[in-house]
This record gives sequence, structure tokens and C-alpha cells, in this order.
Amino acid sequence: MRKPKNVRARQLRSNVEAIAAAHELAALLADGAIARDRDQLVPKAEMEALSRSGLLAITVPASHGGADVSFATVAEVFRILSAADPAIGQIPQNHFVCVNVLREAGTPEQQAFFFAEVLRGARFGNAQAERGTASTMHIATALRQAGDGYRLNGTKYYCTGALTANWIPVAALDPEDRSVFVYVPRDAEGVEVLTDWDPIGQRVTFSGTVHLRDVAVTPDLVVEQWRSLSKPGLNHAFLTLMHAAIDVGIARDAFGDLVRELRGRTRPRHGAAVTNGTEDPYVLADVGRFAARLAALEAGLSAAADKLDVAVQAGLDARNTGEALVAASGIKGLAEEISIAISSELFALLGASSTERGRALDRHWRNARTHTVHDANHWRFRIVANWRVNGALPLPLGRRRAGG
Amino acid sequence: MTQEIVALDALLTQAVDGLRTRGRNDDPGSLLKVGRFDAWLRAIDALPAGEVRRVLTAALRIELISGFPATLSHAFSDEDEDLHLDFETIGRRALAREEFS
Repeated sequence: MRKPKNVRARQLRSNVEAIAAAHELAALLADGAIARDRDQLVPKAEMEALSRSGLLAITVPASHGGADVSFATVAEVFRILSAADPAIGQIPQNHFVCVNVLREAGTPEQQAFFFAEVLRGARFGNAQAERGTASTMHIATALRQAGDGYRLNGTKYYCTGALTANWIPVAALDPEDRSVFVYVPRDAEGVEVLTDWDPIGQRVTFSGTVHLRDVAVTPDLVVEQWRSLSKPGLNHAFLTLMHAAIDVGIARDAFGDLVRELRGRTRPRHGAAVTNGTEDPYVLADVGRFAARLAALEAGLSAAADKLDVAVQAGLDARNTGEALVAASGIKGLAEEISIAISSELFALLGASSTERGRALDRHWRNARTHTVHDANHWRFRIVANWRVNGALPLPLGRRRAGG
Repeated sequence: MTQEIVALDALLTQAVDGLRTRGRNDDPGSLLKVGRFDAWLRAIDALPAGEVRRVLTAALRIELISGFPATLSHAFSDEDEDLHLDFETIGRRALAREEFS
């Protein structure tokens, strides 16, 4: 195993410290968010700040020196960061997934090494999705036996965080077609991370392509995720929860801009039969609908996160992990609805001047629309309904070889 | 759950029972409706007691019955038709920086 790098991260010890650190970092991130999005700047300084904050290590188990915070705290951290800058809020989502993979499937040696790395501020990037296969769960990236180790080949897309990562955990299949994560060093020979990310929103996540060409892999870097897939787990619920929190953050920031802009105006919209813009009954009613639904969304996010924490406290089983995923799926569905609604409708409520490019109010909708299409919302609500109507809990996700 | 949410949950259960009776328990559109209503019900139930919870519950009840008009019925009141006024009040408070619940 490689030697851990020098300490550069704050050690957070509790849920309270984690939330405080998130607020502190969010204040920093909010400042340059518009410029970063406008100019599509690589967020090197911001990712270093994230590492130094200690937030990347808050789910390291207590047995390994981590704060081991609750899922409710992680959801709140993501919500806070994403309200400041949703691209920076999204980048660590897979970092936390990959820490959880280590928790669920890492060997004691892998856990000791990688948790120490994370406590020192190391960042995991994402390399899971592929294109051109039968489904999102069919992949071609695979390990080939090479002497005592392996060679890794494949191409991954939507690799959020890979550009600024220290390690890139790659979803792959081992020579026996079993699901593994290969924790590849960012600077390993054969790893090429492209900056080919050109979306309308979440521009600063740099979720581009990663090519893996005959990357040499030692067995200690292969985390056998397949071992955990037959046991009840929270990985799917956890990643869904974080996705939801990002969109709740976007909704809150969009609503905040809407209210701030309205408070600063007295002139009514063109055609409004009122003398003061803040007396426009249609504006008031829509603001009220958004305020109310956003409050429910934020309360619901916390309640969904509690389902994951309750499952841990009770001991994971098929039912409570399934119910946690149902709860996370539902709140993700609502988060898409509300973040899109607020970020779109604010223009109608503010009038023509809100469309000025300098105000950058479009970023909320662009970010919400880009992030929410990560997966199909219809099928998130279906997960909820399948439990309610048919008593059927979602099946665990598992990767299969493409073309097999 | 509060009494209002219990009542709303009972309505959703009635809608779900109706789907099962009609053999629609695997129908994508019906499941989409149920999933969305269930998700909103949970989110509203997570709110503290107060005006926002009351108004959202009333709004969800209207949506729910509209979504299953042949299965569900409810004796609506003038207040249900005037919910936009409640949202205006909430909006006014939001703009005035008042806490709302």
C-alpha cells in the first residue's frame, strides 16, 4: 500500500462541528459561484478548501478516528453547500459513496489505509457510468489478470470529481465478472481525465470522460463490492439522499434570490393592477406556495435521512434498508419538482429585468435541470408507489458485463 | 401523524385499494400518481404543526381527490376554494421576513 500523504485537513469530531464547518465553507463558496459557473473555472482552490475543512472525512467510522456523523448531518451538509454552489455541492457526492463502499466491503487493510487518506483530506472522484451498453448497470470496464496483479481498461463518462481527485474509484468487473471498485491513483500511468464537460448547468463539476488504458492495478486497490451486494445495505439510499439534498439546496438558493429581488422592488410588473409590486396577489400566492413547499421539502429531506439513521441503529435488514430507499426516492422526486418550479417561475414573478445575463438568475434552472436528470424521476416515484401499493421493496443494484 | 395527515393517508389508502380492485396496481401512470402523493404526504408530515402544514395538507387533499375522482370523494368547503388566499398570507410573511409555520 502507498504511504498516506501529509495531513492537511481539519479533524471534525461531531455532527455539530460538521454543520458548522459546512456553513463556514458555504460562505466562502457563495462568493465566487456565479463567476465560476459563468467562466467554467476548474475549482482547484475550492476543492482544496473542501479538503481542508475536514468535511470529506465526516463519514469515516469512529473506529478509524472519524466523526462518523449521521446521515441526517450528511444530508444537511450537502444541502448547505449546494445552496452556496451546487456544483461544488455535487462534486463530493461520489466521494461519500466511495467511502461508504469501503465501509461496506473494504478489507481491514483497505479501510485502514483509505480512511487515513480521507482523514488527511484525500478526495475520491467518480468513474462509474458508461455509454452504449444495454443499461446503466451494464459495464465493459474490466480487470484483466496480469501476473500477481491486474490491468484495468475502459472508458467512463460523467466522472464528477475525477479531474480534481487524488484517487479515482472505478466501477469495474473482476475476471470473474463480479462487481468491484478499483481505487486508482489520479496520476497513475494510463489514466487520462478529460475536460470535455460542456453542459448547460452544473458546469463546474467537470463531469467529463476518463480513459483507462492498461492501468496497472495491485490487488490491494481492488475493493470487492460484490461481497456486500447480497447483504442489506444503504448505498443506494445514501446516494439518492445526497442527490436530493443537492436539489433542495438549489431550490433554497433560487427561492432566496427570488425573495431578495422582490423585497428590493416596489414597481409592479407590467399589467399588474397594484401600485406596489409586493402587493401583487399572484406574486404573493406563488411565493407562498414556493415557501410552503420548500419548507416541506427541507423537513422531508431530514425525515428521509432519519430513515437511514434508524436503519443503522436497528441493525440493517431488507425491510429497513428498502424503506430508507423508498423515503430517499420520494424526497428526490419532490426535490426535482420544486427546484425546477422555483428556478423557472422566478422570471415570471420578477419580470423582464430578471432575464439580464448579469443577474445570473438562470443558473438555478440550468443547474437544477442538469443535475435532476441524473436519473428518471418518474421511476423514483414508482419506487415509492411500488412499496405503498404492492408491498414490494426495490431490488439491490448490481453491475453486469456489457454484451453478456 | 396528526389527525389531518391520518385522514389524508386514509384517503390515499382508499385510492390504492381502488387501484388493486381495478387491477391497476402495476399501471405506470397510477403508480406515478400514488408515489408522488405518498412522497408529499411524508414531507408534509415532517413539518411542525402550524399554518404551512395545514395549508399544504388541504392543497394535497384537493390534488389527491382530483387524481382519483371516481374513487374518492370529500365534502369540500369555501376554505378549500380559497386556499390561494392562505398562500398569499404565507407569501406576504416570507417577503416580510416573518417566520411561518
